[in-house]
Amino acid sequence: MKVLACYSFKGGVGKTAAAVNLAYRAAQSGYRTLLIDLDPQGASSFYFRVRPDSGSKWTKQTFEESDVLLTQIRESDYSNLDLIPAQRSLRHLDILLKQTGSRETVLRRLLKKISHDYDLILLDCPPSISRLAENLFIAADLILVPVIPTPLSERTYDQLVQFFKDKDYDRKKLLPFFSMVDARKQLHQKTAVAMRQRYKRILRHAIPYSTDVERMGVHRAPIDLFARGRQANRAYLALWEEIEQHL
Amino acid sequence: MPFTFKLKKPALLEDLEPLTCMQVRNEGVEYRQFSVLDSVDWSIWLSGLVLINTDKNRLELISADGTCQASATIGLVRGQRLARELPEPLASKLKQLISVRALIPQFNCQWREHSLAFLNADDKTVVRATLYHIDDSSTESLSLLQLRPLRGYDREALTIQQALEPVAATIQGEINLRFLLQQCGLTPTPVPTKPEFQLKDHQPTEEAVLKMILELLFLARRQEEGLIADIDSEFAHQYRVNLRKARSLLSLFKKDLSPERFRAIQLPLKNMAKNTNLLRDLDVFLLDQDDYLAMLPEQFQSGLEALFKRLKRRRRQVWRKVTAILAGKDYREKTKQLERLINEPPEFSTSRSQAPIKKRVCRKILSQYDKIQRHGAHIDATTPDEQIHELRIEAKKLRYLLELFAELFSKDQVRRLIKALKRLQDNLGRFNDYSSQCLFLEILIPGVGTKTAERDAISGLIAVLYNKQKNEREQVVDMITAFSSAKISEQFQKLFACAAAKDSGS
Repeated sequence: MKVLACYSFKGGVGKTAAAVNLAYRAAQSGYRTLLIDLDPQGASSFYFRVRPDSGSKWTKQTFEESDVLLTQIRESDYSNLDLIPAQRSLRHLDILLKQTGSRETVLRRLLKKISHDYDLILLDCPPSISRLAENLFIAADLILVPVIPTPLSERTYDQLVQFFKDKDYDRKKLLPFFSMVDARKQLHQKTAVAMRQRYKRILRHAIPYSTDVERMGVHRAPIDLFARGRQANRAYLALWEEIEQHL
Repeated sequence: MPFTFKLKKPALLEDLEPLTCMQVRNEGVEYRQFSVLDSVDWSIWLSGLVLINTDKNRLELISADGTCQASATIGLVRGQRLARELPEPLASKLKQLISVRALIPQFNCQWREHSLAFLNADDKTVVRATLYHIDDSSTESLSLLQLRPLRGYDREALTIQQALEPVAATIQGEINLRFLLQQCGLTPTPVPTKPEFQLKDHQPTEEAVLKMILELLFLARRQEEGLIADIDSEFAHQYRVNLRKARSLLSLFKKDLSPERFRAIQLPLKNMAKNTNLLRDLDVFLLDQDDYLAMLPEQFQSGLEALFKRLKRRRRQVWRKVTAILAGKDYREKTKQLERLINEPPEFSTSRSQAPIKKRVCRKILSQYDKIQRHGAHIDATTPDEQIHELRIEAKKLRYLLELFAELFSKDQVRRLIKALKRLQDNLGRFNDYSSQCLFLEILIPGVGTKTAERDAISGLIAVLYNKQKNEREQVVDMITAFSSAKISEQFQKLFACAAAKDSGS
């Protein structure tokens, strides 16, 4: 079982769209996939039309007894793909992690307990550097980082790399890819070229800026379901195939 | 775990929405139409599998959990097919199930399968379902519904189940192919191949033996239809096996019948068996054709193929002759007369004929075992083949005694003895088979129209079979010694000596 985290500590970079479409692609490729929506905004859950049970929340018990988490699993409409929907209690996950008194490995241990049912667990993470993020960096085998090729996003990615250096995390886990790329913009082109020179691990395939991605909110489905032949859909497929080689 | 229902009246998709107050999406309909193939004794079905011939001309072997174990595209099967005529791996799997029996279309059925999805207020699928409509002219139309809740949505499935309660009855378990076939009216009732005599320990011997012979004759005659239709070689084989058992029984209890009655039964039974001798010889040879092909190198294969072709034609002629006899008036009258004769009340012309059957059988078994031990003790490496064949016949008589009268004894103990005897019989049987096959082939060499290639192949086969026969011959002494051992002897004594001695004054 592999754990993939979709992470950026900058919001609005296409992180959730990537998590949803990549989870769907992984499932279509035959991986028994579980997508865990850790972002309290719950956009991934919304795209898959999954709501949490009223009353269910992440508590100390969730980390201690895997059964509690197992009851939160919901099967999606697509074969091989399950989901743990986001819930409001996730807002306090950071505090909860601190309360557990445990170190950064608590999430890793929890995921290991539910790993037998799945080949791939994909985590849609909230945009922040927090105790949760540190747990993610330990728990994940690979961390997908969507980066818009702009100076601001580049700076954010630099900060993330620096954070990894400072904390002595394994930087090889980081798999950045360009997201929301507008090929007509010179700035995007130049930033992308410059970043590729500095970071050799940036994935070859990029996700273009597309209204089809925005329309996922209307259709509440992965892009393949309503824009099959479109460029953005092809881009997610190519990106998934590239990521698969790293698994 | 799926929820399964039988709807009280046929339901349509549109009926489900108002009943469950949920949106139901139609995700497609599939028409399933196929025939079920099996051997005449339903071996595949009885082993828990189903062989279907789909409307797409595919043969699929389906296991109880619905997985396809093997398949092949072969076209529609109208008549019979032998497993060996099918492509691998289907052929091997079927051979294990039906051996040399032929596959015949046994049952035709059709139904519709609607795939449905129950959606919640977010248009999210929460329960998937299959609605089966069985609308066959032979059965009343029937609707079955199977719900499979998506993980995490058991509560929604429960709500649907509760909503359906007034119009549906819950069924235990899952809907699978077997279940659907049964709902379509398939209730295989295999005809018993092994006789059940319902003997009583104290039944007078003559009465019991006559009853058994009649039952065996009846079983033999039940094969006539399949033999005439030439479904597979097993019909002729079973016809002969039952007649052989009847004849063996008759000869074992010869002295319990009046000489007149014995002769009046013996001769017609002998003639009945004789009618099919050549047919069986040809069948045995043709059934083993794959083995024969494997025995000889490449350069002999064409000669062998030509031989098989010729023998198949010959078999056809012989079968026609047998069919003409079996369908003929003379045969029918004679067998009816024989049945009447066996059915006549016992004459009790000798004191033995009135003795209780169990006691007589015990004595017979012990004396038969003793006979084998005595004959066996004289057999060594130099003993002529004829004596080995005689021993084989005696062993077969003992086998029939143990098998036919097993119901009078502890089945487990008898089974153990049969197992021990079988080891000896297998050895003697192979020895006999190889030698009779050599004889059969020798007759073919000077046959009219036999070409050189065929002659070479026959000679080659005789050489191989002769070697095999020699190998078996070398094991005979060891096998006899094993069967005559103190341990086996003790088991025979333990099981039969006491009952044989009981009431010895009567």
